[in-house]
This record gives sequence, structure tokens and C-alpha cells, in this order.
Amino acid sequence: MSAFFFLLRELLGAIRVRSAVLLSSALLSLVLFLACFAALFLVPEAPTVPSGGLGATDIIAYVAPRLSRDAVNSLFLRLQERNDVQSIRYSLPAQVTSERTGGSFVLVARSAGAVSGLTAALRSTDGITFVETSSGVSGGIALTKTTRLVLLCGLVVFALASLGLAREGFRALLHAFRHEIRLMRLSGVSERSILAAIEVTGILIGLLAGVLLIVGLALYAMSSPGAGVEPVLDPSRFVGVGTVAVVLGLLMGGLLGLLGAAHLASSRFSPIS
Amino acid sequence: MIQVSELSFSTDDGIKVLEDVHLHVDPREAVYLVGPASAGKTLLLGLLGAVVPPQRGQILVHGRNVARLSRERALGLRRRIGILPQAFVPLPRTVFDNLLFKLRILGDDREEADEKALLALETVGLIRERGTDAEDLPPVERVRLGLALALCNSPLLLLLDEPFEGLDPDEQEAVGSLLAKIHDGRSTVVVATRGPIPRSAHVDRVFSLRDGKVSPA
Repeated sequence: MSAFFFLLRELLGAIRVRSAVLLSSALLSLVLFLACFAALFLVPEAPTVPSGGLGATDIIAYVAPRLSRDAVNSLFLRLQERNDVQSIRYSLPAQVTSERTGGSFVLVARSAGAVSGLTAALRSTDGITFVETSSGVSGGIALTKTTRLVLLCGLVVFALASLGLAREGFRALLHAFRHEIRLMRLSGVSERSILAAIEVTGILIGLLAGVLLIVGLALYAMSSPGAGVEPVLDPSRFVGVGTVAVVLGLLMGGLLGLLGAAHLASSRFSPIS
Repeated sequence: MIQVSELSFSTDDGIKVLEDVHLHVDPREAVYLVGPASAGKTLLLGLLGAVVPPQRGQILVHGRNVARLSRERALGLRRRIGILPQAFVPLPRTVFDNLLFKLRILGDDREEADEKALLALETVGLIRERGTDAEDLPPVERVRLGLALALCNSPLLLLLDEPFEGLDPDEQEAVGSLLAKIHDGRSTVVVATRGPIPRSAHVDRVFSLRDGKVSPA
């Protein structure tokens, strides 16, 4: 094991309760930051209704673009056979205002009382991203202006929280490691080795946050089909979300590490007093 | 070995701590610097050990001008100097692991580090305490551990800051005797102390550091 990996192991071994709590909180904030980022920039916008208002028994179900033609046909037939469906037609993607949906089913429920049950059934159907009734859009990650604003605020708040928590976490960690740092400086160990170990710790936190986001999204989608994350988990989008999450996590982790390394300028780590 | 000339050093507030210091230490000499508290002894050792960059004057250690060394070369020089800091605080781990930590971060593999650590502990008489938590050691044993850390990687120069501080007279004599054993005419040792120097210590020359100036005592 090289001197660097020995140093990194020793530094990670110096994590105590306080630094563990703070760095874990920074990790959680970073995951939430990445989740906001993924939702803000990678989830399609909520579809807008091309025509005027919907009638009391009208329902529009937006189809995920990942579905094949056969899958759409099969879904159409299944819905047509339902007792609570009076009529159904498929609207091609070109006819839908949002470019990101794979077309839509325009349904008319048998009665106004059947609308809620039918809407719930549609929402839990795999391949349906959004369901729209006369009372509004539901069933997907509807990025309305308000949602976007909330996500943007979340992005800033979680970024600042992760930076602040990591700064305090590294302060606590380096405090526990101060005697070792003094000895290293006294012994002629390169300052770059010490900085690198702290930087790598920050990057590991960022990488872990990226991986946790990907795993979390995948688990959520698997455990709750129709929950609205399907658009993100389309194969092409999933790669995009994963790559962006990991890259952004690494960048943020690097920033966290730099904040931690900034503590080394403190006189507490001076080899002689 | 050490040649200091026209060395001056002031604090950020402009207070002169060292002024026109001249000092010469021959190889394998044991030199004691005696002076009151805040006379600048620690600073002078820091300057000799390339821990503190000089402001004015020249410091030659092993023929190298400390002021003109690149960062990498200064680190290289520091690795060949063993320093016992004042009021030495050991790492919160066992005596043996204190030494292993230093040797491993300096690049030794486990086997090599084990061998050097055991040798250093044997030299300072701490071999039986190797499994003891270093923070539980009494003051005199802490000094022994500090000395083991300073000499474990076979330095050419030892800089020891107040090794007798906080010890009773018997313990001071024991440490003085240990320093004489470590020196044994093989390595260069510079010891800074408020005094008095224990009778058991081997002393080649004594310098006095007062009012920022060094003079033979």
C-alpha cells in the first residue's frame, strides 16, 4: 500500500461521531441537490392541453415515448375493454402540444362517477406518464412554473447546505487528525499529499451521492410503477441522468474537498508553536 | 554541518526576535542553546529545521542554503532532520503505532517500518511500552517517545526543543543520559533549553540566546 493510500485510510479512520454526522448530512444534501438538478433539467415538462377545457367525463392519458407500437396497441385494447370506458381514441405525438410525450389516449368515462377510479387505474399503469382530467394534470412529475421555482430553490438550498455541512464536517475531521497533520508537516511530508487525501475524501462523498441518486431512482421506479419517474428512466434518459448525477457529484465533491482543505491554513496545524 | 550568519527575524508586529545571529555547529557535535522563555529558541530551531522560512541572513544545513531551497528540496532536507517539538503531544494511538504512522507516511513498507520502529523503541528504552496508549504515558516516557519519533528514520541532525521541560531532576538526568547515548559522537544534536543542563548529558558546546543574540556561554 502506498504512502498515499495509507494516509487516506488513516484520515478516514479519524472520522468520529460528530464528523460522521456532519459528513453524512452533507452527503444527503448532495443527493437531494442532484435529485433537484435531475428533475429540473432532465424531466420533461408537463403537457399542455391543445384545446380548451375538458368535459367532466373526459380524460387524457399521455403515453411514455419508450413504448413500442405493439405496446401502445396492446394498452389501447386493454383500456377499450374496460367497463368504465365509454370511448377511446389514440392521438399521435404530432397532434400533441408537448413534443416529449409519445402520443396520448383520449378517453371518455361512462359516467362522471367513474372518472376518479379510471384516473387512478391509468396513473398506476406502466407506460402512462400523465393523466389529465377536467380537474388538472396528475400522475407524473409535472414541471409547472411553480414546481420549477421550488426545484430551483431546492437546488440552491441543498447546494449551500451540502457545502456548509461538509465544511463543518471536515473541520471536525481535521481537528481529530490535527496531531497527525502536525507530525506530517514536521517530518517533511509534502503538503500536496495531505491536500490530496482531503480532496479525495470530498470526491468520494460526491461520487457516493451520484451513485445513491441513480440507485434511489431505479429502486423507486421498480417499487412504484406509474409513479411518474418513467420519463427519467427511459434508457437514453437514464444514461443521461446517471452521467450528469455522477459528474455533478464529482464536481461538487471536489468543491467540498477544497473547502475542507482550506482548514489546513489554520495555525492549529502548525508543526511548531 | 550548520552555518548561520547574519540571521535576523521579526514578528508580523515588527518585534525583533533574532538579530544578527551567527552560529556554527560541526558535524557530530552536541550543542546546547540556553536562554529564557520567549528568547527565540523554538524559532531558531524552526529555522534550522527548514520549518520556518528565514527572512534575512543565511542558514546552511548540510551545505544547503535553507533560504534558497525549492519547496521539494526543503521537504527533502526536513526528512533528514529529526525534530522533537516543545511540549510534545503524541498521536492518540499506541506507542508503536505512533512510530509506524511516521514511517509509513514517509514511504516505508510495513516490514521496513516495523523494523525501524522496534529499533528506535529499543534505543530509547520504550520497547516494553510499545502496546501502551501513548496518551497514557507519563511525561518522561512521552519525551522518550518524542525522541524515538525524531530518530526513527536515521536523521543526520537532531533538533530537540526543551526535552527537560516538566520533568523532575531525576527524570532530567535520565533524559540527559539518553541524549548522550543517542548522540554517542555519531549524529549532530542541537538542544534548546531554559536550563539547567543535566550533568549526565554529553555537551560539546553551550551557547546563550538572549535579546535575540547568540553568544558562547
